[in-house]
Amino acid sequence: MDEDISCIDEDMLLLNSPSPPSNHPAARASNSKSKKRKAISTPPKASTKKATLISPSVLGISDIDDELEIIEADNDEIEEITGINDVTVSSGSYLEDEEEDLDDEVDEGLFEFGESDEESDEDIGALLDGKINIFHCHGSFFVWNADDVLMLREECRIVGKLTGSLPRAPRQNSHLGIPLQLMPEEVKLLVDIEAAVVVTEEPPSEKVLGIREAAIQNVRATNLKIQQQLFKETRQEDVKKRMNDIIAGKKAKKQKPKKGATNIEVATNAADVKLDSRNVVEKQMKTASGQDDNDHVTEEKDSENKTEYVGGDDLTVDDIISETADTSEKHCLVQIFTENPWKRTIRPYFDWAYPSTEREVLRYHVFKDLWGKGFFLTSGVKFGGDFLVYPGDPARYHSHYIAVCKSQAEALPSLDIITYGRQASNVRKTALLCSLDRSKKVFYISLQWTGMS
Amino acid sequence: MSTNSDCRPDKHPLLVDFLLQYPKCDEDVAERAFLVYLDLTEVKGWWSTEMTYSPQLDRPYILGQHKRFVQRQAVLPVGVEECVSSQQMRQFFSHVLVDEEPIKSITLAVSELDSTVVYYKLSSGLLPPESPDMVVTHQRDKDARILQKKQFIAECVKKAMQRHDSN
Repeated sequence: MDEDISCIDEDMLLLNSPSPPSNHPAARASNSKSKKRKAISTPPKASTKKATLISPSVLGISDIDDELEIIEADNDEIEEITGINDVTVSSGSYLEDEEEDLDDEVDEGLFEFGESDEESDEDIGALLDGKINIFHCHGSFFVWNADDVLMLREECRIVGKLTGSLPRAPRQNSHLGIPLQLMPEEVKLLVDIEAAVVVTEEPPSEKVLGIREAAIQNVRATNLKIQQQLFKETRQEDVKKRMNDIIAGKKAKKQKPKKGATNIEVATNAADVKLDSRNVVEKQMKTASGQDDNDHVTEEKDSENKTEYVGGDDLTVDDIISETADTSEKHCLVQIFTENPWKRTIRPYFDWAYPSTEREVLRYHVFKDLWGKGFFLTSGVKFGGDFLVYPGDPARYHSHYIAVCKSQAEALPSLDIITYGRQASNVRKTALLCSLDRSKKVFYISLQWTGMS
Repeated sequence: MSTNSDCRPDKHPLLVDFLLQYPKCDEDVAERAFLVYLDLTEVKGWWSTEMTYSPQLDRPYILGQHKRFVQRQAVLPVGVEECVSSQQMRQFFSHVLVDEEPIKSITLAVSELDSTVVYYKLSSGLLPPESPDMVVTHQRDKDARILQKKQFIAECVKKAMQRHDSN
């Protein structure tokens, strides 16, 4: 294996049409493909979920958050990629050659490591197994998996900071999403308690990128087709339900061409609705003027005995549907991933020299000690300290302390004491001076304004 | 023309007594501490204030009660230009004695030469915030005091009006 060109299973990115798979070209294609590679098809759960997402009335991104499920073709395991908020739709034809290439590589397992003899792969696999992956990127640390982020908060009392732009609200930064950025202290602690591993990701080669781009284009095209089909089907249902109204409306229009109402083709999406309202308006006009009472009565009769006229007009559901334009590509639902959906080449990141400086050691000891007392900690920059110390989840509690780390020999000007104390009391907190004694034990001094001045 | 030293007012008799009692204490430091002592005694109205001296810290400090029937507290004067390390703060807790006992909590009095003094409470360890119940109780006490005062003043005005009417 010289290069990693593995990627996601495209089948799983496709939306399944609610109609029987055999009837649909895209579904047929994916069926035959999965047979070829002796893989199971999409789990029913996924297909039903996704089918419900597509409604012709929604022309943007679906409101329903969902997770995308991706199947590992070789071992029938389902790898769930979560944190994917927006399920998208697209579709298209397969380029068989590329598919073959990809299929070959899919068998390599989820994570692949750059240089690998089998043994080291296993070791690394065991190291990563069941642990939270923290991605090291240019000196910063990120968690990309939504489940991991929740787990960190609920189980590990590690809060971090969300830094990602929200796909559906990109032009603001008061609410942010994945990835979660962690402080070095948080990362070190998680590694120390063996809950997480720091990893780095190998950038994919040009070749892989090319293949991925083509694959994504395919998926998009296929999903578009499926969405168009689904739109038509839903529209068909709609028209079927309202057929009586439509025919009655047409009939009415035909009978009164003198009324001045211009005939409008029943071609647009909202045609039947318009027709109805026009009909109503016409009726109102008539009753208001007191004319044509007889006509009015007969018209009502007409709509009751609609069957007679259906034969006359030869109007069927299919006629209306065939006049409906296809939804365009710009209205296609597109999935935006919050985590890398491709197979990744990741390897543990070992050469992290932390904590190295005296200050880092101090901060880490303080962080670990306070965490060990059951507190939640976040960065204290907002209040001029090192950490903010919360008695519970920061979403539910205010912080009690502003922790300020000072080495025990560092001379603190008494003006600084006033600054910390006054600032903390203004925000109803307690300033906490944290230092290490000679035996590397943390000691604390709480600092409060007395209210006397 | 009198000399500069002649211009200085005489030392407060209590300060003189203190200096006699603790000759090791630096005179200037003692004067700064005495400003705090006076502030507590005369301005803040503390009870049973007393200046004393810690030979280990080489600093004078003040004992007193902010109300009549509460625990004695220690107040440690610190000049605004001084620096204090957290190691020194730990020593305060062991060497500042109240009734011969080391204490968990000291009030630091940071004093400017113009006699401005601000007080900050240092506590050893993590000091949990007041419980919501306590906060409510304090607020209720405060409200009750204000109400009492208001009634008293209203009564005064009422009496004055009666006197006025009778005249």
